[in-house]
Order: sequence, then structure tokens, then C-alpha cells
Amino acid sequence: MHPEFEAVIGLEVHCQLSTQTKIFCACPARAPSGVSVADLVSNAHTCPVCAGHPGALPVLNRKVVEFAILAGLATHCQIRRKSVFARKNYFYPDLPKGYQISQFDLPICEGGFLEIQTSSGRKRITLQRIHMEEDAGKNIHMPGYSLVNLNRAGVPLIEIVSAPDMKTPEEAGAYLRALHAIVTYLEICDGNMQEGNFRCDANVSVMPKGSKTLGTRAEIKNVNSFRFVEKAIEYEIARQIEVIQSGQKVLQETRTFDAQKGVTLSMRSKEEAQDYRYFPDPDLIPVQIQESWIDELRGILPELPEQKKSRYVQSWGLTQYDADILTSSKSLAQFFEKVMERLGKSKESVNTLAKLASNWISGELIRLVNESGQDLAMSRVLPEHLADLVELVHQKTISHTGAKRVLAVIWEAGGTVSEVVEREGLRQVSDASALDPIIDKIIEMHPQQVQEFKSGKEKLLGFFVGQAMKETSGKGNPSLLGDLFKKKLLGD
Amino acid sequence: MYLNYMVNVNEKLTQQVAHLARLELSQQEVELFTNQLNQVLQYVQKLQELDVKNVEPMVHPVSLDSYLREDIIQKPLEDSEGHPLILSSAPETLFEGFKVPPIL
Amino acid sequence: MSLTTDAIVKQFPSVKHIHDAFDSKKLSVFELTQSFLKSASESRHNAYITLCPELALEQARAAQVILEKEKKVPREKLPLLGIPLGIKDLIHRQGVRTTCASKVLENYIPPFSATAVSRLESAGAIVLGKLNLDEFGMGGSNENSAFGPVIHPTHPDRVPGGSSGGSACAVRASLCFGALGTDTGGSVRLPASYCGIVGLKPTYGRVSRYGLTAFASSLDQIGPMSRTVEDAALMLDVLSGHDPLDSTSDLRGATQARIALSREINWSATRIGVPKEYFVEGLSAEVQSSIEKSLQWFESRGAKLVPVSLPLTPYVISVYYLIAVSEASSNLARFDGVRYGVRPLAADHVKDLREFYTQVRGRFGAEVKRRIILGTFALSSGYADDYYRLACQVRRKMTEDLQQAFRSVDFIASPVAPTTAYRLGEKSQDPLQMYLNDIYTIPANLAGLPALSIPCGQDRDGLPIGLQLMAPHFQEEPLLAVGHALEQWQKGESFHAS
Repeated sequence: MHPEFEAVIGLEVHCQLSTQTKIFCACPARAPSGVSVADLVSNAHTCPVCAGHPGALPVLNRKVVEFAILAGLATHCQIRRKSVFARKNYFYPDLPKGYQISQFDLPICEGGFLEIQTSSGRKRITLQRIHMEEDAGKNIHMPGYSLVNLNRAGVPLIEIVSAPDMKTPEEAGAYLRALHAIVTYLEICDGNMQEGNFRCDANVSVMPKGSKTLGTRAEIKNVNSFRFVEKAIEYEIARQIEVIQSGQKVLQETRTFDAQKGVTLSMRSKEEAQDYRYFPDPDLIPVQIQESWIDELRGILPELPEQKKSRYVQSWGLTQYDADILTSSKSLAQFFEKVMERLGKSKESVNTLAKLASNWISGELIRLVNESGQDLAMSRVLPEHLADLVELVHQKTISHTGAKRVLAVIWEAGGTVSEVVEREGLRQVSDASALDPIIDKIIEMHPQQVQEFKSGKEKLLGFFVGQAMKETSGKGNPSLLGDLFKKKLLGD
Repeated sequence: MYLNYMVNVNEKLTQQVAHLARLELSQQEVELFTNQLNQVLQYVQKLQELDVKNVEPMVHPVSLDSYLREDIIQKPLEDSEGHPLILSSAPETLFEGFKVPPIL
Repeated sequence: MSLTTDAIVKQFPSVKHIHDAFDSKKLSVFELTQSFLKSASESRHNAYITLCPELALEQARAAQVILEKEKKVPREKLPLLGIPLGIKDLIHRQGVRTTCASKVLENYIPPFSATAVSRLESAGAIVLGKLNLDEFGMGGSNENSAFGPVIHPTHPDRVPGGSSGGSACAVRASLCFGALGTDTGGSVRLPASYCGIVGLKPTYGRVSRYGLTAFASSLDQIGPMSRTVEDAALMLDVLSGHDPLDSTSDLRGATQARIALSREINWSATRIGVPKEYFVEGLSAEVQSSIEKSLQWFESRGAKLVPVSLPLTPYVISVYYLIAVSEASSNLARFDGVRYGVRPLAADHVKDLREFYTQVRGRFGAEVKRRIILGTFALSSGYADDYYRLACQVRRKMTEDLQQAFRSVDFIASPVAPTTAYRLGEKSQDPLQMYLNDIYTIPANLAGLPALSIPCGQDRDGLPIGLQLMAPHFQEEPLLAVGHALEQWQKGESFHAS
């Protein structure tokens, strides 16, 4: 980043809530399980209310309010006891009523925060507000005409607006990941960015370093991955700096991100600044939220990523980095915790075990999950397996390579760890007395290398261990072998 | 009587407002509506005489209790051939979508 | 049966009499509906936009079957059995065209019924058809309909009032036994007054608005229009009660108004407020004298007339018009030709979206366009605080004034309109003039109060005059009781011309 400028970044995230029904009518809010949203018949999930027929009226879904409150509680917001829905008026074919029901003056949550971790340390990002609103339908563009599908019209959204507290693409990415983790932990949103149920808009501006006046900001919309958001912001910051340095003014406009080319593009087809004429929706009564409801919801808040991370670091001595990875998804964290339930029984060395578990989960297991393209939920490798595996590795009963093999086998075909170890003959020989004769044999067979090693060529240790491994058909414990060779050859 | 805000609508403003409402007015209509708009605005101007400092705007005249709906699906209606019933009122449909001119 | 509907309503002036006649077989359910359909289709008043004879006769047949089975009308279960009603064409009946008297919706067939209509049908009522109105409810004379004006039921050179002009005319001219109207600024009470029938605007939230095409959502209410107060009470009992499909519907159950009519009124404990700001220049002398006569009658029964002050009266019209048109400009945005309604040009023949929208919405009538423009302006950035928001603040003050007045009185009495029915074309050139006509009816909408219009006299041309009574929120039962008492006295004095 240019040393004379600083960037100001604010993020608006729209989360589709995973309720059964839409926000203001009883139409299904999502596709039935097993069916993808794209395969639904157009307009199969519509009724006079979400299709904006005359005489139709909105009735608020209780679950939507519940989910919004949970989001607010999880981000330390004030929950407004009386919040108001407002109409945002504009014309567009996917907006059936000619207005979107949203919240303007009195949103349900205000003034919260999120903590993020980046390479420069921890930072607190303020949340300005969270409000409830309805989603619009979808337009399908065909040559010569467009088609409107209202299945998505009326799907409940919460919009989470941050203060412009972020200064780098990395901070933006960290914020998004943290927010994503929270809403998926709360199970109020699927968090599937590809399908558009976690959407991010970034407001980016630049100003001379240390300036008190904000620059003109551009809004980047419709970026559907964390990485792309970071890249888009990075590009946009550079672009704006260039514009300013060439003596021109940054335009207040909406832009999209072209992932192929890695650039942001102006959406000049959009109309001039809209006048939305917000006013309180007279078809809806202000939402009144009782203290008792908030207390009830506070009581059912699950442990959130931040709390888990602290706990992992405190209880098991994991690093922040490890904790971050393990808590990046709720299912991963739950997997790890189940593993620790089994391993935690042995009080001593629980930290070592935790570290091993963490490594194996965030390394090999995640690799298998990603490569298969499946969900962790579909994994044949269960927490019990991983726990057993970690025990064996810890006891040096199997080698690192051996453990990888066990994992791969169980991933493919199931089984238990001990079964697979036996079947594949992976039990390491870690008995020094058993290995002794082999060491002697190797030393005898390679006198030249022994000489070279003794006179300083330390690298040859690998050679000796390799030879011994061949001799033991891979079953020797390599690190033990290394120690034994050193002892034999160098004495100590 | 001091009026703190006096507005006079000109034809340009009428056109702008008409556009916001997606109404296309003939020149005659622009003139007529501009006059009538000004007449009405002149009349309602006198509201500004009143002292309403700290008065909360009223949206509903009756105090109503909020009623929240349970999150239970009601299957949308279909016609006798299994098509979404909502399409039966549509002027033009194609592939079960509402057809409109090209948007982009 | 060869009785005309005029003769029928003369002989059987209320639902109770009709049901007695069904029980004694003096009237046939099926033939009654047939007679009304005949009157409706032959009339020149243009009160109906759509008649639905097939549906009506099917319903009549079904009602007849029930009667034959039950031997007598089951009045508790089906209080409106076999009663032919008309529905203002702003309110949906599934499968029957709703036009809102607009070219924009000429072909719209709603896929659902309004809760109000479903409840009437569940009570046994017959739907004869959809009644004419000012387009989208915007107007006070029923001259703003895309389907032609409605003529006054007894004086063909006069307007019937609006916007529920078709409803009022049809009831008075015996084209239906009763009707539903809607009232946003007086649209049930004004035509009721001009045509000489009973019209009730219930408390805001009393009757569900689900299925009512919205004009101004915080002001609209569906109201019964009938020949007698008793029938209005009966209809209210059927219409009212919480509807989970309308978030602005009060949680209370249905009224029990019809029963309330038979209770003794404690006149000496009844205080009737008379706002001093109402009896001013502009009010016709004949209207004033008619109102005063009714007030004197109340006094003679023992009621106290109490002067009250409503100092914000001069601002009432400004507040109403700003709020109503603002809400309306937003409510009418959905008429864009995409999902329903008339689309003059097919999508392929239109250059772009802008042209698409404007050619659809160009079919609104002038009054509707005017109000949309005014409303859009009043909500615009830079103006909203001084227009829409200011009006909402004054609304609160007005409502408080009225609630304050109701601390010292039980009802507030006033004329319904400054004059009787005026001539067709007389006020239509000057929208502001027309708006000023609503001065007495608007406060009840702004404050959400129940208000009743009942005939209380005639002018020298025989044009009806209406008295308005307002009551505090949810006090329809005492309101109707007092109205009923007045009506009984009127009948004794032969004020009701048939």
C-alpha cells in the first residue's frame, strides 16, 4: 500500500436467515433438502403477499426476530426494545411491491463489535447496526427480454453494517471470516457464499495518511468469496490512489469485481442517486421485544468462536493460530472438542495431545475434506478415530506416515484404528532392543559412510535411517532409529 | 405568522417527481399538475405555523399489540396443472417466470 | 314472486324482516337473489362495475338448501343467510374481477378473497357483484371512475358522494340489500349521507384490511353500508375480530353490536360533544338546522350537550392529504404491469424498462396521478420533514385533542358534510374544493375513531342530510345503540322516504 495514503473500509453483509418461511408470509424460504435452489420451479414459492398483489399484507415471522436478536447478542449489540420497519421505495422488476420492507431509523440492533486477529494483532471492529429486511426476487437475463422469479422475494435477511474501521484488505477478510463464523455457529445462516446467502458489499475510500477528511467512497457489490473481497479491496485501493494522483476525483459509484481479471468495474448502468423516500411501513406495528425474550435467548446462545478460541488456548495451550483454524467452522470445532473429550481423560500430556489433535485435524483431515469436496459431516473419519490415532502417534506406536495411511483408509472405507493398524501392519517397531541388531547390520554394511559421518557429514544420518527403514520394511520408528544411530556412531 | 419554509414547485421539479413515480406526463399535464401541486402546497403550508417540537410522529392512531407469526410453512397454491397459481394473473409469462423487457 | 326490490325493501326493511319472511316462506331465498340481480342489471345508476350472477345464484341455491334442511334460518350460526350484498370494487372476492375502478386493473382476477368477504360468505351472505367507486378510493363524488360516474339514487343530476358512491347508491336504490364500502377520509360516511343510508367506519384495526386494495394503510377501514343501523351492527358483528393475516388488526374478538342495540340507553348519563369549530361559515343552513334538530332530540331524551373545542380543526385537511397521498404513492407503486394488471404493450414491443413502466402506469386517472405526484413529493428527500413527517406530528396532536375531548363526552356529533349532494361536474375541476368537503369526516380517520353516519333529514330539494356521531376507540356498541335510537325516532317521524 502506498505510504502516503490510508484506506478506509466499511463492510455491509447481508445474511439470508435459515428460517422455514419467508419474513412476511408463510411461503417456504428455502429449497427442500436435497434440492438445489437453482432447480426449483420459478415462482413455485410465491403467494399474493410476496408477489405484491393488491390487498396482500405482511405479517412478521417470529423466528426472524429471534435470529436477529441472537445475532445482536453474539456481537454485543444493544437490542432495541421497540424497532420499526420502513419502506424503501424504488422501481425494479424483482421488487414486487415497488418498495422493500426494511428498517431505517430504528433497527433492531445497534452498537456492537467484533474482535479480529490479523498479522498486526488483535483489533476491535465496531458494528453500527443490524437490521431485518426482505430479499428481492431474481431477474434472469435472456436475449431480448428478462424473466422475473420471485422465489427469493421475501426471504428474510439481516443486514450487518460495520463502522468504517478497517484499513486493509486483510482486516476486511478477517472481519468477514469472523462474522461468517458467528452466524454459522448460531445456525441462523447457512453461510453459503456461492448460493448467495452470505453477501458482502465493501465501501472503500482512501485519504492522505493522517487526514481527518474522508475521501469519496465507492461501493463494491456482489463479491462472493472472502478471497475475492480481499483482492477486490486491494485493487480498489490502488485504483483510487492512482485516480487521485493523476489529478482526478474518485467518483461515488457502485462497482463490481471481475474475478477473472482481478479488477473492479463501474456499474454505470445503474441510475443516478436514488431517493428512497423512507417512511415507517403503516402495514406493520413496531416490533416490541420483551426483556424476558432477550433473557431466554441469551440463555440459549451457543459458545461462540471467540470464547472457544480462548478456551482452547487456556485449557490446552494451543496457539491463537491453531485455535483460529479449529474454530473456523462450527462443525470443525465440535469435531475437535469430541476428540478432546476422549483424549482429555489423561490429565498429563493433555496439551501435547491437543497439539497433535489440532495438527492432524487442521492438516490431514481438512486436506481430505477439501479434496473430496464433501462436508465434514459426511466423513467416515469420526472423532473417536482421530482420538485413537493421536494416542498411537503420541505413544510412537505408529509413525507419521503410518498414521496418514490409517486416516486415508478409514476415510475411504471406515473401520477402526486398531483394525487398520493391524491389517496394514503399521505398528512401528519402537523397541530399541529389537532395532539394535539392524543398526549394527547397517553400520557393518556401510563402513565408508560411517567414516564420513564420524568425520562430520551429519546429513548421512538420513541415509542410515533410510537403510534401516528398508531393512524393517518401513516399520522402524524413524526418530528412534536416528537417535540410536547417533548414539552408536558418536557415542554420547 | 412566520413561515419557516416556503416552497414553489416548478415544472422541472414536477417532472423529477413524476419520474420517481414512473409517471410520464404530457406537457399539458406537467403544467396542470404543477399549478395544482402549488395550490395544494400553499394550502398545506399553514401546518408550519404549529409548534410540534418534540412531538413524536404518529403512524398508527390506535395502540395495537404486535402479532408475530409462527415459522410454519403454508404450501403455495397451484393450479389444476400444477403450475404456481400466482402465474395465472400474469400478463406474460415464459418458463414460469414473469416476462419483462430486457433489464440490462 | 314479482315484487320489485323497491317493494321488497319497503316491506322487509331489515335482515331481521327478511329472515322472518324466509321462515314464514313469504320470500324465497333464490328468488330474492334473482330479483336483486334483475334490478342491478336493469338499473341506470352505473352502481355496479361487475355483476356475478352465476356465483350469486349458486350461493343462493346453497343457502336455499340450508334453509330447507334447517326449516328456519339459523340466525346465530348464519346471521346473513341468503342476504344479497354488494362489495365495493376495491375489496377482493376470489375469482371475481377487482378493477378498483381503474384501467390499470381492468382484467385483474384476485386469487384470494378479502377476510371481510370470506366472513360475510361464511355467515351465509350472497355476493351480487362489485360496486363502482372513485378510482382506488380517491375522490368524493364517484366521478373519478374509469367505468363512468355513478348517478345519485334519487336525483339523477347529482353525485352520490364518494369514494363508495356505487355502494351507497346500490343500497339506497335497492340494487343490493347491504354493501361493503371503505373509508379513508370519509368514503363510507359521505356517500351514506348524500344518499340517505347508514354508513359506519369502524375503529382502525376493528375490521381486517386483508384483501382490501390499500389506499392509505394507516387510515383505511372497511365499513358496512345499509338501510338500517341494526343491519350495520349485524354486519359489523360478522366482519370484526382479529385476523392473523393483517398485522394492523386488533387482537380483540368480534363485536356484539346487534345485541347491544336492545339494551336500554342511560340518557341522563350520556354526554354529546358539539365542537364549536365545526359550526362555521361554509356549512349550509339546512344541514345545520337538521343536525340541530337531532341534537335537540337527544337533549329531550335527557342527554347533555357539551360544547367541546377541537382547535386543530383548520389543519385537519392538510394533515390528512399529506399522509393519505404519501402512503398512497407508495401503495400504488406495485401497479407496474409485471405480475398482474393491464400491460398495453407486450414486453417485446417496449424499448426499455422505463418505457414499460410509464405505459402501464399512464393508464391511471388524473386524480390518482395527481395524488401520486403530491405523495411522492411529500416523501422526497429534502421535503419529507416539512411535509409528511410534520403532518404525522400534527396528527398526534389532533388525536390527543380528540382523546382529551372524550374525557368529558361520550360521543361527538357533527354534520357529515357541509352541504347535501352537489351536481355532477360541479366540483371536479378544482381538487382543493373537493378536498375541503371532507372536513368533518377526516378527524375520525386520523384518530382511528369509530364514526357513524345516519340520515337525519332532507333539504328542500329532498336531498338527504346525514348526522355524524364519533365515539372513542372500540366503542362501536354504544355508538350504534345511540344511532339506532335516533333512527327509530326518525322512522316514527317518517323521515325515511322509500
